[in-house]
Amino acid sequence: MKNSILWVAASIFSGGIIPVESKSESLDSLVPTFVENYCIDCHDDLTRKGDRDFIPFIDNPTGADSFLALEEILDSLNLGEMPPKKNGVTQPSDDEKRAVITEITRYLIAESAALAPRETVLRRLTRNEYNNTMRDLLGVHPDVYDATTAFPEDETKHGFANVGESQVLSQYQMGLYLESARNYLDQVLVFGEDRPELNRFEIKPTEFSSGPVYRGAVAYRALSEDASYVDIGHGAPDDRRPNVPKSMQQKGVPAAGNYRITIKAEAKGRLDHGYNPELLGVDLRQPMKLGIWFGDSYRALEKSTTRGRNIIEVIELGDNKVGTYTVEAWMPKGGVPFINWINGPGASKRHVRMMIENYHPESTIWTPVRVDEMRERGIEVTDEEVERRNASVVPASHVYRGPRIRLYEMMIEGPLDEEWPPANHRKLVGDTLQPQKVDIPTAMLKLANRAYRRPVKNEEIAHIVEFVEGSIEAGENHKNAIKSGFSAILSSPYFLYLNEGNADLQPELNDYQLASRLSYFLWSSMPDDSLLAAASSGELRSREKLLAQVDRMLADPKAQALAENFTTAWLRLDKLGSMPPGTKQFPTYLGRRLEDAMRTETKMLFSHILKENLPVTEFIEADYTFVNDSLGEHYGFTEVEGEHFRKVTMPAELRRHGILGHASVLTASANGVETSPVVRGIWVLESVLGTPPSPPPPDVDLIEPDTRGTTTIREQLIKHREVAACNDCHAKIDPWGFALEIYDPIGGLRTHYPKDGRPGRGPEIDTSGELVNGDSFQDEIGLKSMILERKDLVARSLTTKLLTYSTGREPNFEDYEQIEKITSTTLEEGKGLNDLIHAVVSSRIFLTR
Amino acid sequence: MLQKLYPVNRRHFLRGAGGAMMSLPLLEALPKSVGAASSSGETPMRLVCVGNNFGYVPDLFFPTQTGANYALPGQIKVLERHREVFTILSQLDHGQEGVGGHGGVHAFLSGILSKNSKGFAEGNITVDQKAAEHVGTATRYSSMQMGCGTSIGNRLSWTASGSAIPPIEDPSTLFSLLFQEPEAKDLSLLKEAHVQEKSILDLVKTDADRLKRQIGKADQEKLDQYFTSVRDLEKRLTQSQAWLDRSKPKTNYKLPAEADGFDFVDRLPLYYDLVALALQTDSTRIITLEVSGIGNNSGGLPLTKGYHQLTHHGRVASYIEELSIIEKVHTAAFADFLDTLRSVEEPNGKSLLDNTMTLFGSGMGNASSHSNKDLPIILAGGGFKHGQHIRFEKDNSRGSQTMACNLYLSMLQRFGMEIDQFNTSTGTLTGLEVA
Repeated sequence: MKNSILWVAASIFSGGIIPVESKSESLDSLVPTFVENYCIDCHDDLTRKGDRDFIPFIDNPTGADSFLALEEILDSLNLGEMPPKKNGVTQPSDDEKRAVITEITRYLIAESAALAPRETVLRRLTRNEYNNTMRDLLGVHPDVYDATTAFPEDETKHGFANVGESQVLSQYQMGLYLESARNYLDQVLVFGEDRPELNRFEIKPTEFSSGPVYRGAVAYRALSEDASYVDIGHGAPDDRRPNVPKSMQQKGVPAAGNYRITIKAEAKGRLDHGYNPELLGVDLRQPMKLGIWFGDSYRALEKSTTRGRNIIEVIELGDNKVGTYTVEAWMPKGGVPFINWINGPGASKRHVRMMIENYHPESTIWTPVRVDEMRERGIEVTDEEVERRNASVVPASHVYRGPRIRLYEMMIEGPLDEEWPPANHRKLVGDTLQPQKVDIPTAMLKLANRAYRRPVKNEEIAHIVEFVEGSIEAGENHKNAIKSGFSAILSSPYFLYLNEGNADLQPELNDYQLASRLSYFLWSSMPDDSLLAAASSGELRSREKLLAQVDRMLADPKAQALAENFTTAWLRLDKLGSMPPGTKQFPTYLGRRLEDAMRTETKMLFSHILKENLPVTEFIEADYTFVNDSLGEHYGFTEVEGEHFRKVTMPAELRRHGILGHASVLTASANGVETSPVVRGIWVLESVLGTPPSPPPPDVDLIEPDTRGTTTIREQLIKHREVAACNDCHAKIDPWGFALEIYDPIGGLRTHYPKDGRPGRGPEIDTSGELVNGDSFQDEIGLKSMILERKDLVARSLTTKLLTYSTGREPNFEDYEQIEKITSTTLEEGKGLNDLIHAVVSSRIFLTR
Repeated sequence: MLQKLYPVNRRHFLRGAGGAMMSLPLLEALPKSVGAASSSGETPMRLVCVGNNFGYVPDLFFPTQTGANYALPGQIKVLERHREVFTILSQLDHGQEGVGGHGGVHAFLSGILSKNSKGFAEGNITVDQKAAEHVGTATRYSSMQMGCGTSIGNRLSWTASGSAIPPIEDPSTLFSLLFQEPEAKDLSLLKEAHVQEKSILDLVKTDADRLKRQIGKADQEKLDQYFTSVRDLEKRLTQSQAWLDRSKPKTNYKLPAEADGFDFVDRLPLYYDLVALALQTDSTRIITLEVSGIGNNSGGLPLTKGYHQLTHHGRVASYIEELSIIEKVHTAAFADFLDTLRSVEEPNGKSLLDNTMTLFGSGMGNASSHSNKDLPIILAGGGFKHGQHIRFEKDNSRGSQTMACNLYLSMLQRFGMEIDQFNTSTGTLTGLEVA
């Protein structure tokens, strides 16, 4: 793709903005002439290849229907797909192509200018932004105690949740805003409360297992005879039977605050169990890991749910080596700390029972079922014998040598907060614990200044102050009245929306609007004091100082939000977890907590490329990635130990170079059960190249797959493509996905398809593909070189998505020149991601509504 | 095997002997004002919609024959005893508007994908929410959303503003909403909170009025949504306030203590119990029940594979066998529910089922091919003439078909609404008559 005037239409118009009727803008006749010369042979009313008939377009080039046709023509030319390089197909010259692309682009810009929203539509904080803002504004902990769990999922536009145009609000959500504001305020304000005592809960092993070992029974938890330790032999990330100290079960910790949890434990029986490993059937390659958690209330620990459970830390235990581990965590009042064997064999105690039965007959109880069986087999046994036998069995826990976590002690101390009233309380209402002493106008103004992210005039909050004071006069208690005032500020449209003024009156953002745009871009949160100070002094108008702020903010840990939320939107990782793979088909997905690990990997690659200012092609060709032990295992890279993620160079044969080898992307582009080259092909076109295919024609019915026999998805698609209407789109989509078939639905490497869902190998996977223009490749490495040949598309797509994310609107054709300039400068000068972000922030698109 | 896992008659106490009409012992001495009769003395019409996210294997759901003399296929065989009180409706769907694979399921009760809601007068409002407009404040809850497992992709209830109403998942929460009186202390706190919330809404309205003058034309629509939300919330608070002082109905129905933690197979019937109780006590007249997934522990069923995995059966027999176990749990619970509704006699001398339009189905037509066409739909009760399988006209080559919204329009009219259009409807449903 040498053409430097490429422009990508589809990414802008795939939202379905189609003019109802065409206006007077004229289109140079060179376009219909071009179509007549090079396209019409196949795309006329007779042949209708790809169900495309351009006769109506030629008859009336500016008619209402021509818009779609032009978009598609432009896309095909940009991708170099059309006309196909086949014998007998006349090829236009590069100059001709360039001229046509220029003219179509110009025309579409002019036509669309009036249609797409030209400026950012008033946008509301996304749920993420709302929570981060509450964190920075009030000092609350939404990451572990989230008052917004009942919020409806944000409506997204092409993966972006912050596009004002497509956001919705309902009374239901409005009610939740009131509730969550009160909830967060309740956590911060401690009027009339005494400093909570520092508690020390010394938790004995007996709190995990009641009393002496049950004779003969096979237990999950077994207490030693002297009650000095408890052995925990089961566990999974989503434990149905987590290990909760008895004294914590109902009420949890007595007050909110930071707690120190100290645990003394070791791993037993991982390496020295002496059983037949196959019979044991527990994956013991990793060290045994102790998960330290808390539930936000005891309800989070019910069997049916994992909602409200928060992981504090995962600790790798020494084998036969007692260690003492200390962690600190903030817990809400009523929070219930608990532990589990997080990479354990699951909730079933099958493995324990099997070992007892096979190796320890002296501990095997004769159950009624077993006795029945014995009698059936002709073994005579009296009831007395059964009773005598069962009375004398050795407790299973005395003989079991299998893997288990041995816990000696657990200590919970807190709350550890040093000052009273806490800093967050003082920030809102000053030092006093008496609501009567609060200076109401000052407190309201102080919060409004920060919550509205700009200086607020007294009269703007006069109605709120008046209300608070009025209710107090009318007999309302001070505390409630103050909270209501704060709640009003936190439910005001000035807080919930990013008010960027009226674009018709002033297209440029003012200093504070710019500060907010910047901080929601880089932090997904409100500006901090330093940024607000820069806004106040007018510094942000200087490009240099603006960019200095960008770099300062990117260096802040809060910039993790950019890596997380932007990659989620750009690479459609919002789909990750929406169709979770089955635990039976893919046990490691849940068992090894791969979903989180996958997200972390992609996020870290983004942060790395940003920090090192590497070129955007690094996303495609990086020969390294970021893994921990579990994700490493998933990739067949076993040299990494421990939970901690680190950068590793990936050997080529593991086939993990670039994001196309990231399990996050490969899982999000599958459906948890099987892969589809169509879905992954569309993903490549949409996210990587920024040229989404047109949707299928409305009358196409889905073909129900019949996978009896050995039909592969490729064979099915070939069959599908025998239908002409299907072929022309699928010929553009499927090849991009074929190469990725080498990855299974959770991104694991494979060589063969599964066989009818039964164990054993199905057909071998064929990763080759041929693009419409005739270029072909053998596997994903070839695919990546095809993509790198189109690196201008990759850069443009990334630029466009960064602009969408940072401004809360999808760019339209009017923005074309600027995007083009940013993209080409970035590519030509070999600039990196950090430069690209600088370019985005200093663009007119970013600086105006 | 399955009988052992969930004996069909486990809830004898809920059902009338032999299906004979009788008043269920659900409620003790109902105060008159809380009974099923509305204030005007007429027995109200109710609406229940049940939707799952993966649909049903089409061959095992739709009978081959149409008319009254059809044989019930495997998944719905359990409904045999009710065949006179329901109708199977086939070849209904939402046309192109409802297509989106798993992402099309949420259009089940609206006919419109949420992302396209902007192009329609009332967005992607669902049939239940439309009906709720008609009920207004006549009941404690204008509608209820329940969820036996939930998934964002299978939200049943959507408002006109294009947002989904997340269902309540825990049976214990639902039970306390219906029957548990708040303690006097909590009640006064609740009242106080209502008053405060209304004042807060007044305050933020002032802000919104000011903001309105500062923003551009394109922003006004967003701010209008804010105003609408504030006003609607005020209405809801007013309704809630009106009901705070009125005592909740009493019941001798006992929700098992550990109900929230039950496996799917044991939990599902509890939601149906709660639906019946809510209707019988006129706590609400409109309920949607979302059934998504089977949760962990294979839902308590003898399965070797995941539900989703099984729906992609590719016609492999062993997959379909296991999938049928799950699908039959759905239909069996629904059949039991119909027993319950039939056994409750209402003041107008009819059964609760006669007074309840009960829709059962899915926005997924065929999960194996991700098709949102030919949705599985059963309509029971509601005073319609039932007892048949109606296959609606459809001709893909001509693009002609019957919209599922025609059914919803008929239902809304039956509900008492004087409207002649609902979302993508092209008319009422021909062939469905009031008995």
